[in-house]
Amino acid sequence: MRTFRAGTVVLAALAAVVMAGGGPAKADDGGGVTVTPTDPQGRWNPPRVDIGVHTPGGAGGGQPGAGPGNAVGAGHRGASGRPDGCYWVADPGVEAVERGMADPPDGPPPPGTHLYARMCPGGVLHGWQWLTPAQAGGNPGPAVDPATLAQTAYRQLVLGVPVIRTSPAVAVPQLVRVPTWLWVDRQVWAARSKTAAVPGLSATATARPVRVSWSTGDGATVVCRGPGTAFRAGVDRASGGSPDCGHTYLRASAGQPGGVFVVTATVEWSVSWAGGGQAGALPPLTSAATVTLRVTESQALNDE
Amino acid sequence: MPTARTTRHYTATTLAIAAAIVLAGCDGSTQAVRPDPTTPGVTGGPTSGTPSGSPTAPADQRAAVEAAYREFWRVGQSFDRDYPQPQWRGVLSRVAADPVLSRALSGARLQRQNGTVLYGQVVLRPRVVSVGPQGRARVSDCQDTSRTGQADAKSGKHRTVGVPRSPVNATLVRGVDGHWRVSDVEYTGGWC
Repeated sequence: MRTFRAGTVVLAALAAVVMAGGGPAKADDGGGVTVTPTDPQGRWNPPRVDIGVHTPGGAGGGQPGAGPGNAVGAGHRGASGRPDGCYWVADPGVEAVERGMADPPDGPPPPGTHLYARMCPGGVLHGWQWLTPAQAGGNPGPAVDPATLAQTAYRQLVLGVPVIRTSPAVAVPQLVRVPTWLWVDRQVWAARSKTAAVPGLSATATARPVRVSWSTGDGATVVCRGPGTAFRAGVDRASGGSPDCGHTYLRASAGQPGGVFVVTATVEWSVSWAGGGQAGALPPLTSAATVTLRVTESQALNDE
Repeated sequence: MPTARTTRHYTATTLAIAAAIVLAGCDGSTQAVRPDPTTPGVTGGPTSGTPSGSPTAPADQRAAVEAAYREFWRVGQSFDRDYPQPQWRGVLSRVAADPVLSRALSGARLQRQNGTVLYGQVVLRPRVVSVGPQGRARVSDCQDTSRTGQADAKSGKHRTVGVPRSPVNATLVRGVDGHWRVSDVEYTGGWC
């Protein structure tokens, strides 16, 4: 848990003096400007955990206490002796992201809490804080929406980048009119999932590899329904084509830039989600890799 | 009110001189960095992997990290003003990654709903603290936020303002496209 530094209060007071004296920001135009030592723009600081929540608010707005980013708001309340009029707004989208962090800077959120944004008079945002619904003034907590959680999980999906294999191998020349086997490493060909959760609800987005589109560099495109079959030396015949994913070059790459064909393998992933008794599809994703292949006339090799 | 004005003027002048002396020791530049026109190299969504290209020298990496950090602040303070809301995520995700990405998007939405906009600019004084081999970098900044904050969208009236020397720690991560993005920002409080 972060602690609020006493020095910040001094800094706030000093800054307030500067502002009152017509300092560089010229912000105090009579309506009262809140000097905010930490994150005056309100959108950047990480959520705070259970710092100085004094009195849950009633109807129309809570009466939150001071967090590190709320120093002067608390000061105003203390100076005036009146509620500051701030209130809490549940923010389930950001909550799901923060809960999905492997190593949150403040540690895991306290049990029973949700993430709330602190809104103050004038529409000012003072960051986020983990609160129980009671601390948030009776707000029942985030509106639970499995689809929103699924979108969060979707954004956190990490796909595999295909590792391109060919036979003959990438490092040696391919031969015109001799089949080239194409495949991607099997380890890439596996479903990937991410789960986003808030208390009482989770949603999982799952990406599954569907096909590989090969741009072979000579103008052809080969679509394979799987990762392709790896060539087995001593078992498979080099002169025979791949059973499910290959290409036969009909011309050499000599006339291409660098004397090579640029080959791209693009894996297409279908994505689905499930959670809260619901399920659905999400937009497909792709991941791609590129290699270069040198293709020579068979005669040239025969002459060697 | 000549007495009050004189007193205020004296106070402001004294503090301004003090601030100028302190600021004179800073090495930060406030020049904006030109936006990087490149986009992620993998289409359709998030991926993992190693960016292609030749190894980058440490000095170049540090420069790249600092440039990305400066670009984050340039874009982060203006994306909601310069682009329609449906484009916010696309624009900001070029310079930011979660969790600060979602935080900033949600914050901008809340501020728009409540009639608030940002004014001014944060003045940066960043120092790249570390560039890790795992694609993670840390930046320590001593920001001047004394000319920026939140304002009423209609009247322009300033609602919040920062302070001249606010310590900030930031984390950047390198994406599959090789670009650095800010993933977290923390105002630690205190004075720098």
